[in-house]
Amino acid sequence: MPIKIRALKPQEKTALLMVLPAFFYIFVFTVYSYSQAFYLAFVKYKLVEPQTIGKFIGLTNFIDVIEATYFKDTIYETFIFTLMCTIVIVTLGIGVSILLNEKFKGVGFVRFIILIPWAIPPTAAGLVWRLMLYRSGWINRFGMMLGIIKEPIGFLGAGRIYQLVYALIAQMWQQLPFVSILLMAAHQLIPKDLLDAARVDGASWIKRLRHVTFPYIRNVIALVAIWEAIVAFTSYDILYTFSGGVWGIITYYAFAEGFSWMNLGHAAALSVIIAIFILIMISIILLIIPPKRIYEYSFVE
Amino acid sequence: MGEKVSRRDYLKVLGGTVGGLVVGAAIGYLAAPGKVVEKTVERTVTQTVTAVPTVTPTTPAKKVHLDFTVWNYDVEKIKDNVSKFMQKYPHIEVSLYDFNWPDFPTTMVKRFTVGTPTDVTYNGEDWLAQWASAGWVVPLEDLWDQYEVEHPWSFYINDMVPYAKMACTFEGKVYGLPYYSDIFTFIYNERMLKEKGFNPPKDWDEVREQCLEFKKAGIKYPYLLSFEPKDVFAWCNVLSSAYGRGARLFDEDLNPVFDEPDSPFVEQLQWYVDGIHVDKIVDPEWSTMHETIASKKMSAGEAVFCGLCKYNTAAMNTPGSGPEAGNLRVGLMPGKTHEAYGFAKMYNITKMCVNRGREAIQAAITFIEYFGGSRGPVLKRWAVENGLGFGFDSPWEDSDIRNAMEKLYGPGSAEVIRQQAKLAICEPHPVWFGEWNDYVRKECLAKVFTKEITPKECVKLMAEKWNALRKG
Repeated sequence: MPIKIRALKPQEKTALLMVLPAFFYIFVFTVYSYSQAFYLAFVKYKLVEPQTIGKFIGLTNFIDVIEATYFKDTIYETFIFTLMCTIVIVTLGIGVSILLNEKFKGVGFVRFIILIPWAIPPTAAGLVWRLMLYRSGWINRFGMMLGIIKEPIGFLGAGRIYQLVYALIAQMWQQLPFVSILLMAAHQLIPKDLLDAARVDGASWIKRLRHVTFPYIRNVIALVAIWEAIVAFTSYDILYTFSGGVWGIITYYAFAEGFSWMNLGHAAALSVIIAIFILIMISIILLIIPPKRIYEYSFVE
Repeated sequence: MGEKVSRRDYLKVLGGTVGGLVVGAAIGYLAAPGKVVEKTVERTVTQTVTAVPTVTPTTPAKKVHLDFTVWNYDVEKIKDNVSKFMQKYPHIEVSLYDFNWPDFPTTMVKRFTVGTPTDVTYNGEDWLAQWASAGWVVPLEDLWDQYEVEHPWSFYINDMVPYAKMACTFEGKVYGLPYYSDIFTFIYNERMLKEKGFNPPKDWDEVREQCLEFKKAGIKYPYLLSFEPKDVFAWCNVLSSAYGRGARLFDEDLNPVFDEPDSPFVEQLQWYVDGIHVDKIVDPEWSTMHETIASKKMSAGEAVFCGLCKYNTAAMNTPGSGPEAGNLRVGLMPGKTHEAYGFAKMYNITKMCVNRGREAIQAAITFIEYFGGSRGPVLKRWAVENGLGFGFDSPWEDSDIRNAMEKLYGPGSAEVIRQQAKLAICEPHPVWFGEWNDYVRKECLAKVFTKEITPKECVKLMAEKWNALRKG
């Protein structure tokens, strides 16, 4: 039903005015740009072929990118990277959050210091880890100084799958603080008397974790896991600098198609494919934790 | 110091200062005297130098303006060359726009796409096909003889070395005159070789044997492979060494031949793989070995051989660059044919310039002849002062150029370089070459050197990609 502006109460008009900037922002940066990408995905748009720009070609761009030599490998690597990141970061995040939730001397300082990597831009994080993994880098030098290795290891000259693992370390270093702090916050929502009661009843640490802590934080774990999966799946900057601009996951090829090979049609088709995967992930979140439950959860006393 | 400043006072002072600065800046701007035409675009330092008003009989009343785009190699010298050109031709006014080298092709594509005025531009053999097929640049050979020039087109074309001519050609038409041409060469340490009683190696087996001897003598990795997969020069290094064996990428119809069973290209890839993983004579840091790092290592005496673009030898021999400075030499590329990869960066006239009419085309041709002609002052200046290569043969007869080359590249180098230039080749670069090359470096060659795939699997992938791109 259309809203009649004149019939609105003054407070409602004010409210409408207040949401206008947000509406404008969403329209320009989301609705318009997504529509433009969607349009580009169905037309020929290769900058170096100006004569054919804008010609409708149906699903050709999608077929081209799916048949591209890189597609199969990159999809495989993207899922491997996403899966590894999610499992490792969330598992370690749970461990760190438990540690941070404990009371020990200097816990405030540790909570502060642990956040630092999160404040470092992913581009810089990727580059820092790349430099550390050089044959002449800090890790090799330290290893040789301690006598752990005799010869420098060529981390960056190793196969792609190994390098993906090294890139995971950089991603983990950057993402772990955020996950840990989120999970630590969830820990603090657990009623203290419930934990005390379990302790009085003689429940061991493991049993308390399994039967009290985990049921309380599992929604947050699911949320964080899906979030991290999305972050890993769309990871571009950290991998780009880590690989020296040479390889990456599917997002890298969306960039390469658009800005190295100047085929905006292919780039848009890949972006639409990425968006479909992301939508699937978001749907999974909403299936696990329906919006109503997220809302209720936010107000847990 | 103890006196407290209220927030209101602070804001008053801050507001007053900012206001004063704004009013001052505005008055200063309005009161400023007329300036020389100056343009600044993106990250570009651009200038137009006022011409010295010398009177020439042919000078038209109205100045012809040219927009000239370059990448940022020695921009100060380019500006100076532009300035000197405008002194000689006061009726032509040139605005210079320089862009970061790695971003140059994409910047130019965007510039052409949106129609930003550009009359004369640097171009490279690897982008020529794209720019020409898009209609952004036009064949110089179709225009040259219709305009007033110092030398006819045939004069330059007959003087051009074959690889440079090929690099400037698309679909049988020559699009430009070379700004700079060079070769990917084999570089060796003359002192170390003499000490061991070796001559410069003639083929890759000999390179291997000599490397093994140097390895025994304590040089851990005698051969440096500069292969940063992101860098297009990485490909040129590998290709050039394969050309030495007589390799070819394509036949006349652009069908791949590098993937044939006895392909010299495959043999050369295998040489590198064995060098890295079996003989351990090739530095395993190949993936991060930028040419500047390789040059430093050569000057420091950490390696004996490397393959790099020729100009690096001049940097290696610069006094103070390392203990081996002055000992590095360019040798003929090892292999059966001693061929090497040669390329040319050139001056092109754009379609936008042609659309402006005869006056603009005449100005652009005069400009290109001054900058790119084999008798022009700019070619000689680049060669003598910077040691840059040139795409013509006649400059070798110029004693200033020869002496400069001997000084920069070492005694006896001029003749070897000239000989290598004559043997250099440049195969056609079709429109899709850039995309193919990007894929080959990152997805094929990088994986061969890490032993993820074999050289035969590598060339199979290369051929598949080539054929897929050809189909469009």
